[in-house]
Amino acid sequence: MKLCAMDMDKNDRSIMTETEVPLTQVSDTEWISEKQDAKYWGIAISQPGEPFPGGPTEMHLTNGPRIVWSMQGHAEITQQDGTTCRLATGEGIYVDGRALHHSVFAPSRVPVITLNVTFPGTVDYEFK
Amino acid sequence: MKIAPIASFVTIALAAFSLTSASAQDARIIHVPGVEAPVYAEAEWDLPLPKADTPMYDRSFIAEGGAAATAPDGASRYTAQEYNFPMGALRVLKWESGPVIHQITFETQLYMLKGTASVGVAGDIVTINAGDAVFLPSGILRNSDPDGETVILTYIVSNTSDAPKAKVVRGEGLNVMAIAQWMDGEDPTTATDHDAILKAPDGAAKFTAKRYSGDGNSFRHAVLEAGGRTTPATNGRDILIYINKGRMKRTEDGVEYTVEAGDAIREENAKSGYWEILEASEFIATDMPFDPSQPRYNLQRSTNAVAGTGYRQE
Repeated sequence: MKLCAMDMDKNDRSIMTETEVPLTQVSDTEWISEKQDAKYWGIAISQPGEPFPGGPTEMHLTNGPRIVWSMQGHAEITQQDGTTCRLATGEGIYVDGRALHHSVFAPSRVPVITLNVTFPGTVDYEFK
Repeated sequence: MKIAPIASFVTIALAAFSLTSASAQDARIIHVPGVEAPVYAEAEWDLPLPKADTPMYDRSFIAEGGAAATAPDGASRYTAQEYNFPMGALRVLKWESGPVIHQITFETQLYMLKGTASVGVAGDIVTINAGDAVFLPSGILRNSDPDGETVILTYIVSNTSDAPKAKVVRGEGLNVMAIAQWMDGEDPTTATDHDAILKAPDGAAKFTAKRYSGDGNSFRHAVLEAGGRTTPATNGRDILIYINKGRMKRTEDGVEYTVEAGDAIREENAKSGYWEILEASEFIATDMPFDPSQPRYNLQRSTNAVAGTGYRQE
């Protein structure tokens, strides 16, 4: 299963790409991944259309690999090269710990609720 | 429900937001006078040392506008003057004194006008001096103890390479080309050799130019003698020009624009134009190419850029 993912390019700048989460078919209708490692998880709520503090050039780091799932609302994440990923409800993104990114919730009409699962390590997590 | 304070997708930047002036956002904008370009107070400072179990990468906090006044002692304080064009943007960062700290975010190019700083280039930390340029910088611009004023031109512009490489280009040692241009009747004439330049008629434009070549874009630094008029030229893409000294007049598509130090102007794609050098002048030029076939580094500032909705990819 492919997930929208952040990564770094050879210029040490953040880019948007995809990562693969391997799935195994366990029945005629079901596929599951291996058990993955996790460090901690949390939930965040952001108001829709909320201008991000720092303005349109603000960017930030998570300082650890994680996966972020939108459980409600829409979010748009932009990398240093300008590539963008938009999360609708039920969509997730893999976050590289080094990847500077800018997040906006302007596309959303409802508060954006995200589930964030942080993996061990500081940079990258390899899905099993 | 208790919200996890750090496992968050929400900002870790401590800052206020500011809205960008709409006056300079017109898609037809050609000339942005310095007196009309908005100036923002900025402050940046390093993160406190992380706890042992929360490793952090090299980054800084930024505060803009009124929030800059709340920055801690020792913060880097500077102004950012913003020039927005349909195909790119320029920010002139100016430190009068104190430490230089600036996190590279969306900037794709920078040109060091005054001072010295270090910055990331493809994972290496390099020191750049006045007259140096960097394509696709990364990391944080730093100088803990600058000697006098620091002025850096930072750009968000595209390039035409499908795999551009970060690069620093030193101004020192670059070939300086001497050029004279004039109209010989109806014929545009350009001379680049010494004798021909000396023989150029009154009314010829005389200037020197350095070219900083990056992957898919470049800077040109021109020093122009007072008087004279260049030959008409038509560009294949938009060009962003920042005037850092003097006064000149641009005539493009029959419209005249008088520009002076602190102004920025766009030479529009496919429009014929020429320059008259009213005073001894200097400018820095770079391209604002737009190629929809290149999905990366095509960041363009929205014409209605405001905090939270300011960028779109074209």
